[in-house]
Amino acid sequence: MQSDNRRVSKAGERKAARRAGRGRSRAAGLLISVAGILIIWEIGALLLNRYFLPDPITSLKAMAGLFADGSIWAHLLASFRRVTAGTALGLACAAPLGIVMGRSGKADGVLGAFFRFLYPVPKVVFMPIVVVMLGIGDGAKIFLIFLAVFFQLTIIIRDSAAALDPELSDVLKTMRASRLQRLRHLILPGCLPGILTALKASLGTSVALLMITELFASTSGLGYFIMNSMDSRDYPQMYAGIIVLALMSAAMYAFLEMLEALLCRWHYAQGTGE
Amino acid sequence: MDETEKNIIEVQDLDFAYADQPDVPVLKGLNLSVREGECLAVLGESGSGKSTLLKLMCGLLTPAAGRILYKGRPLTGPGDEISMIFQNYGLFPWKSVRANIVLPLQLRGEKEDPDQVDRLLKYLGLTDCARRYPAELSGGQKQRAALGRAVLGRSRLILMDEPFSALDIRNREKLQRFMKDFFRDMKMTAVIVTHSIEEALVMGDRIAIFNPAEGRLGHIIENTDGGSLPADSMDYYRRIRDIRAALNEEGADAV
Repeated sequence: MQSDNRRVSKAGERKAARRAGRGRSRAAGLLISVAGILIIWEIGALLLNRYFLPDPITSLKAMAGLFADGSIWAHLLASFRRVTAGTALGLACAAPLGIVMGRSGKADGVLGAFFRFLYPVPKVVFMPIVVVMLGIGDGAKIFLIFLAVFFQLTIIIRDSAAALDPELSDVLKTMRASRLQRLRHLILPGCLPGILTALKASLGTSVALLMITELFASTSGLGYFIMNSMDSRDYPQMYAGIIVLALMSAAMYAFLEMLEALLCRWHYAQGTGE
Repeated sequence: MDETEKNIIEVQDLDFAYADQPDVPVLKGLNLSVREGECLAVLGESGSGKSTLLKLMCGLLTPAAGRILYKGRPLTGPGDEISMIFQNYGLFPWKSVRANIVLPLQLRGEKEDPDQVDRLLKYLGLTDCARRYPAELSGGQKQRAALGRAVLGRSRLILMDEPFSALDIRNREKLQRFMKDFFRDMKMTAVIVTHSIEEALVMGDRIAIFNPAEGRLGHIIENTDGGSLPADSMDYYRRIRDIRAALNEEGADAV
């Protein structure tokens, strides 16, 4: 038994070392890919030598200027608010619904058809309806992002709720756990990795939707800023806007990854084998 | 003392079929008594209804006919004194070993005594893994954690479904010795379901042979000095031969 423990703890040390190594190689990978993009961009700009592809230094300088004079902040915040509000709303509706559908065959039977029908439809086709009904304000933009995220999240959360080990459900039954205790000890923690994966997966969709909604009759947001810069042929500023949007998405993704590392450590815990 | 008082649990004329296949009886007219403090091994082939029997005995399933008495009273559902340890140990992957062990107390809203938990972890040889997740444990450690959870929850009767099936031979023997001592130290009664004659012989004070065709228990073999294995190898093989004969008679096809 003692040797058992020793073996496991040695394996634990090896794992910690591996994890540290992974962290280092990830940082190196990030550095290399950023450098790679900048180099390809620079070469492209040099070869093309046209006004619509300024070199990265010019674009980054323009970006620094936008942050320095504060003109980009309002757009960045407007976009950030829309994405987070739409996603939060989507999650708030998708989590209970996905859990109910995953845990009850009856609910899944009734609602499943609805989701099968609407899930594959790109939600951007509803934009005219949403604009007609809700206008062109923040509400309509948030609602469209909500729509896209909601369907994606519901499907993934339903699948992770359905995949929970029935044995664990039985264990809680033998301990006479209440419904609320089942939710707290089994369903929520068991679905959390799925929820975070779903959020990461839906981030791309919601930023794409954001971009589209901000192109139309909008006076704020990064999408508007990018299009406006294009219309006024201020290309360094247009590229600066694109970089800011990319950085915002990357930061949100990194935040979700951090949450995952913090809350779902168990999900990556691995056995030592016997 | 009258017979029922010595028995911790009694299964009487039990019938059971699953709701989706009501015409296919899994158990039929099954009778079984488990004596207080013994370890009863139920031996039979996989898929013969042994696991169903355990689920009925811990109140997870309700009999179609017949009844189950726990300490003389009809069993109406799950209770604190009966614990089931499932084939995959039933540990919650997102809880540390310690959090898994104290779960029954937490669910009942009782405060844990940290010293008692520490003593138990030490007894189980899990002190160093208390903060680890189940996925980081070996099969034997997981099994010990599951036993610890049952003890801390104040169970008197432990029902175990194929407890050694996921272990290799060396760890299996180690855990078998540990469990024999554990049941004795904690004064627990245990029912172990297995498809292996050897396991039944090592663990069981009595061995009940399952008849899969009729969905009931056939022979019950007394194995009083079982577990002192195998001081006398001739005796050990004679016992195996007897069990094999009984299995053949019941039409079961165990390993």
